[in-house]
Amino acid sequence: MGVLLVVIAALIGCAAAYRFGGFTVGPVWARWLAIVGAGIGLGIGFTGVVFFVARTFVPFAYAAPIVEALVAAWLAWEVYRMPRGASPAASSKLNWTLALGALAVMGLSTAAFSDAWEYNPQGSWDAFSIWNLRARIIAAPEGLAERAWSPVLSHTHPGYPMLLSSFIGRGWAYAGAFDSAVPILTSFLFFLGMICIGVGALAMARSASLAWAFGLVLAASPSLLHEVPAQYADIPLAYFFVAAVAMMLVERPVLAGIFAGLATFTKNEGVAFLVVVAVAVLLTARKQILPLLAGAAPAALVTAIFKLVLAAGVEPSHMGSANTGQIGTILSAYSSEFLNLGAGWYHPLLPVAALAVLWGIDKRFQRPAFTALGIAVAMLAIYFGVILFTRDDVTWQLGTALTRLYVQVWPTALFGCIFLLRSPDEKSA
Amino acid sequence: MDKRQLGAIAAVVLCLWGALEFASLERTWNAQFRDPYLIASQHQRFEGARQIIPADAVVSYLTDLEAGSVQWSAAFNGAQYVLAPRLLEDGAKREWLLVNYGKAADFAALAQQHGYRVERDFQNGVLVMRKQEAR
Repeated sequence: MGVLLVVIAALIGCAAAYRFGGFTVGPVWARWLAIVGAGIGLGIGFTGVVFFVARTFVPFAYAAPIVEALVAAWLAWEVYRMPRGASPAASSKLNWTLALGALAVMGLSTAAFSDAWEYNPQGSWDAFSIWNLRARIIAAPEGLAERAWSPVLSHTHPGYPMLLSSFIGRGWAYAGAFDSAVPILTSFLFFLGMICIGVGALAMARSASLAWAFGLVLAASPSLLHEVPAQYADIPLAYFFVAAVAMMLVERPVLAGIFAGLATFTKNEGVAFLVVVAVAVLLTARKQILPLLAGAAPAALVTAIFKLVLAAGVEPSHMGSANTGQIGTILSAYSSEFLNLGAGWYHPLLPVAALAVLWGIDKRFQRPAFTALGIAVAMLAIYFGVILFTRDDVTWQLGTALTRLYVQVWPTALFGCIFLLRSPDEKSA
Repeated sequence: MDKRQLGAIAAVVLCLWGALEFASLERTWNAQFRDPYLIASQHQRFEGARQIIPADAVVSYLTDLEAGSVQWSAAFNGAQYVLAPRLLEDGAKREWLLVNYGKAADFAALAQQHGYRVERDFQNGVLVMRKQEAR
């Protein structure tokens, strides 16, 4: 039952992406991948936020499912009456080597997840001590949602945003059981979603070969893969980052804004991301700023209410004076963790480098590619600043968080790298 | 074979290598760390306590594990996870007290010392106590 509820949320999002996403260019398979990729985040984001708002503010247990049912019915009607056949599919020769390779790599990676799902269905430390703990609290039927950000939970960051916990709590509350399949599937869907939206967007904006190259390399990124069964909020955040950047680069600013807004309610880093994306849009595509901000507004407003009203002061500030004596340690950790994104002698930049050498760089796409890369680098720079000023032990902070910070920005950085390549499907400049 | 095909094949081969490396590491990691914090067994361990303590309670928590150690945090977080939405608070101030000991102890004396009476002893180091004046 819990699994079905997660799938229903994703389907609601897919219906919204299909009807309103404007995915009407590019090959048919790319449109569907973009719809599924965007739909996963939209559906989880929408149902998670609705569940959070209902549990927090509405003293009526059925408020959230009624809103979901009404929206699902409306979307079904909109899809039914949607005009069809208006935009002919672009012809695109599928690069079977890359597409089948990507599917094989995804299959291998998913098979590897099964060990973790079997042996550690509860996820890793932060899953049961932060994200799923708060999901259990908000899922409780006794109207105790506000306990999820109680100062009594001071040891487990009660001020962290609530999207992931709310969505998992929704599945548990509606199913009436704490089924571990709910957080497992949620994390996996975000992983699948970031591949789908990246492949779909690259196929729409560039070419099929580059699109599948992105999917291939992302599905073979060991550090990122390791975080999928951990059930932390870093994979959802990585999804929202790359989804926002991909939608920004295919000129879907409202969707980009929605994803950036949802990032703010996923982890604290999402707030910085929204600012970085807004600045990037102001610098590169000023006309998109209002639609972007309009898209971001609903979820960002919920985040603001949560952080500034509901959870205000529940957690002491972790910022202090600059740890200037530790700059060398931080830089060293940044470089060693970058190398550790791989496994054994393998690093996910190796296939990118091979493609850059054999396919070349296409300078026509420097601007969008550098925009994506710039956003990823800006986020890493912000994380550097946060670690520099942290009151916590710097070595502990680096040891426990830095890999996951890289994981958050890696799909976005990879998207930028692949965007910059010369496509073998396109005529050279 | 031209560079376009060679690039695609090189990328696929490299990524297959990466996926196999990941699968190998993941298998080793999971074999080594099967539920390292014993979360699965906490459900059974605290089921009785969950039945007794009201869902809206904030519960004091006492243990014999060394404060600040990984064992302390794992035991506390495991208990908190299973007992949610009840909230656990280190110390002995609240009406309800959860005792989570690793070793046998004189729990009657412990209850006396903190002004509680034993509500239920689950015989595995887990006891639920209640303030003596509370009903």
